[in-house]
Amino acid sequence: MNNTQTATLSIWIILTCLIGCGMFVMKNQVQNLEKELARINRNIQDDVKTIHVLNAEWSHLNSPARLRKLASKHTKLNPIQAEQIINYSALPFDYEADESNRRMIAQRNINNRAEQNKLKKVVRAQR
Amino acid sequence: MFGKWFSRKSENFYLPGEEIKIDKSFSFNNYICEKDPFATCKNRILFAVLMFGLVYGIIAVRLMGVCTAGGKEVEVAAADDNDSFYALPENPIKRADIIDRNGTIIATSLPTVNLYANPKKILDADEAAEQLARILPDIRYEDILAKLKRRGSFVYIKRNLSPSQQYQINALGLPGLEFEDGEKRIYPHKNLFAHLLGTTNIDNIGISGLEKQLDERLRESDIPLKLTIDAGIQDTIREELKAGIEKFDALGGVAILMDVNSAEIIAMVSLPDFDPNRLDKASGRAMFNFATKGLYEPGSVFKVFNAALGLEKGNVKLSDRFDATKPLKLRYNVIKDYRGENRWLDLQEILIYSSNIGSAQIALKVGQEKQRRFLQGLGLFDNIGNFEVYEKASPLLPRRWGEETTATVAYGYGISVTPLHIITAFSSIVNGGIYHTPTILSGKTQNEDHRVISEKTSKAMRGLLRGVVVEGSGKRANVLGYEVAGKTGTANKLVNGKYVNKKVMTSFVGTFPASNPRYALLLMMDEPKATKETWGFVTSGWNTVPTAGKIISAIAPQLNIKANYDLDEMRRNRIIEASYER
Repeated sequence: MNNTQTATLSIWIILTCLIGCGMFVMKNQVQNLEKELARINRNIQDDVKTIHVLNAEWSHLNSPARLRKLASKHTKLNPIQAEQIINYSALPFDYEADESNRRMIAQRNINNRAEQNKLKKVVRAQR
Repeated sequence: MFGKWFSRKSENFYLPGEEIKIDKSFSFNNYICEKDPFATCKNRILFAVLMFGLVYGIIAVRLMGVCTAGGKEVEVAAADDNDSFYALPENPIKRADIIDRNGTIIATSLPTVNLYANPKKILDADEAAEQLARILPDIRYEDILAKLKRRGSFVYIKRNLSPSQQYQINALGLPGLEFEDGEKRIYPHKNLFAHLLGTTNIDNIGISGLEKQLDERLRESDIPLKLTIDAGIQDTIREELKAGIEKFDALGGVAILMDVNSAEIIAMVSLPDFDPNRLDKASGRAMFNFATKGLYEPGSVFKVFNAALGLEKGNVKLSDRFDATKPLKLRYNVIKDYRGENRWLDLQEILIYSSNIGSAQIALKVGQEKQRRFLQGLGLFDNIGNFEVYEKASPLLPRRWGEETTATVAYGYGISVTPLHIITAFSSIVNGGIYHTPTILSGKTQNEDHRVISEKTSKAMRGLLRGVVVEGSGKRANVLGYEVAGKTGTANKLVNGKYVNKKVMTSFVGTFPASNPRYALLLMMDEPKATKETWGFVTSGWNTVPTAGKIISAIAPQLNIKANYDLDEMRRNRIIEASYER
């Protein structure tokens, strides 16, 4: 066995060792990452389950029967009637109205304001 | 290469014994075994070196093999969580949710845990059963013991444990007890959709209602199934119907609200109902879905179809008058009116006074064959096959369709259909004359439709039906602003082959707004009783009609229908202006 042969042989052995070790390390890392992925996926599944349960609870809490009970308990509102729904044009603040009408509305508003101020003054004076 | 290690040059001796150093000839270059005194030593060293090299070589090759191909042992170790490695995590909830048209969840599955045992691994069955019985109070000790002593290697102890129960059982640390992930179907709105959705069994497989009909779809995909039902409207209707049933002490009732232009069902209630979360408490009648499976003789409601038939086939004009002065005598029976007007009636009056005599005359004038074909076109003869609720019934038709049948069917006797049939046919009469197959699935495209009557007839029918509500038996459903149009019906029940006077099925079928129909409502009550308020009457106009009026006034604003008052705009404005004046 001469020098060249021994050299070649040893280079091969070392190369094999190096590649083997390198691969082993890489595989190890990949496995760790896979474990991490599996863990994250498990967490996601748990979260999905939790969200599902919360959604069901939300739906339960929002059930019309419960809302009706709460509404009748805490507010004094009744179901809306057809007569209560009116056209925009039927409202008293008619922006399309002519000059005199608008002035009348403005006058009424001003009068209201004046009355309110008077009341305030009276209240202050009483204090 | 190895020679270099042994051929270090060193001329001078500094230390004693240094002369015994390995001399130059001790090298691999001029290696002669016989002459060398260290031959054995060299050989051994060389052998050892080669062996080590070989070992490392093998290890390296094996490592490479393991890393590239993946050795078997490694594969097994990773197999546990291998399935979910590369893909996105699977949805842990297998059965799809069901949502209403606004996205509210109306049926969902919750993750639960099942407890099972492997009796072979149980060490002390008595002790285990005793401890389990303490944690699970709803199962008897004896039952658990019997299960734990069974021969097999798998037995369910309890499905759907609560989290605290699971924790306690886990804390017992008994060998042979295992947990398994499961799911349980939950209906958050309880009774509201009971008949519509149906129920599932313990393995989460649909056993009734929509859950059974669309079981495959719900199991295959986890995308929520969207229905056309509106939970809010369903609830409003159910409450009103329930109140009506209690008021008139009826055995049951049905309400269906349908979008007339697409035959999508917005709400469908059948009372009495049950809580699908607690099936053990449900009784016989409560489990019966009258809306899709309940066959009954609808009575006068059928006069709508009869009038449409007369108008459509051209035999009857709106101005035609019919003799209702005396009962109509046929070969086997005599047709009478409930409260006869005893005069000649035109078509509008026949509907307003709900004249059986007039209706029968129309049908006889049109003829048997045309009548049958017309009713068949309205889908009143066939099972609504692909409707999404499993419980369905085929109409009961008379075996022999003679002259008598033609006359009685004209006013809704002698033929039994379900409420769903009536509302579907009614929708097609008022919506401009196109029959759509009813559905509760949102976005269903392959809906079968065909024309049954002309646009003109449909318009005339709307006028006639509006007349019934304005001045006929439907007065109490005339909700201001929403132009209700409809027809009432009261049919005597058939008990042991005889019609009984006191027991009636009352129905009201209506549409609103009449000028441009958008929704149709069917209301039916089973055996409503007479009360003081109804002056002893049990006819539809006194029980279902006022209930329908209440329902329409409550749901129409929710359905976003613009109220259209009969008052003219100027007068209304003045009234409203007046209400703002101080």
